[in-house]
Amino acid sequence: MADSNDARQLRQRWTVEQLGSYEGKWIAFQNGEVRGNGTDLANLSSQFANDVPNGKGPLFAFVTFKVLQ
Amino acid sequence: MPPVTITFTDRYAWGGAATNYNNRPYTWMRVHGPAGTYDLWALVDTGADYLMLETAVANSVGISLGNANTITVNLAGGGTTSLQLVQNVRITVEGKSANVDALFGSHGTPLLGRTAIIPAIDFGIDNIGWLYR
Repeated sequence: MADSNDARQLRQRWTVEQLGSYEGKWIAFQNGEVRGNGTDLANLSSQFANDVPNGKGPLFAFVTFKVLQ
Repeated sequence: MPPVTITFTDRYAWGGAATNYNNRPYTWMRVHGPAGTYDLWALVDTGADYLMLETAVANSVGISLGNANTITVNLAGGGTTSLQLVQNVRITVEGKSANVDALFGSHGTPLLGRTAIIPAIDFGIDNIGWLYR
């Protein structure tokens, strides 16, 4: 699998028990932890504005465990 | 039609950690722009025509939306929305890179639609998981 370390760790954490409190929100995940969250991705991204140009930004994910159609 | 055989190199099995303990084909992807790279958790969606991302992604990596065409998109759940179409957006999916058309202005889960799936990876699905090469 071609994956990043953050992606591998997020896959392990992607359960209602561990991330259910972020339902409907964006999270910024890095180094095995949620470093930020919010409903507005622009605001969340701005917290990492200095990291993105250096390729050191977190993995951004929209958390939902509800049915998607 | 003769049988078509595709040899995939990887599979994410349903219901385990590799698929987030469900049966959704999530993937790690990267969007490249002149001002940086942006890593996202996206849903491989063969029912979507395009890669659909929030505007914040374009802004973060320096992809200009100033000259992008605005198009009206029919949503699978009903209704329409206006999104901005940008061509030749560089993405990496499962380690494979391609230039694709992307729609910016959606909300929620990023969708990796067919016009982005096809240039980037060969995608498959079976009763064990989702596959790619």
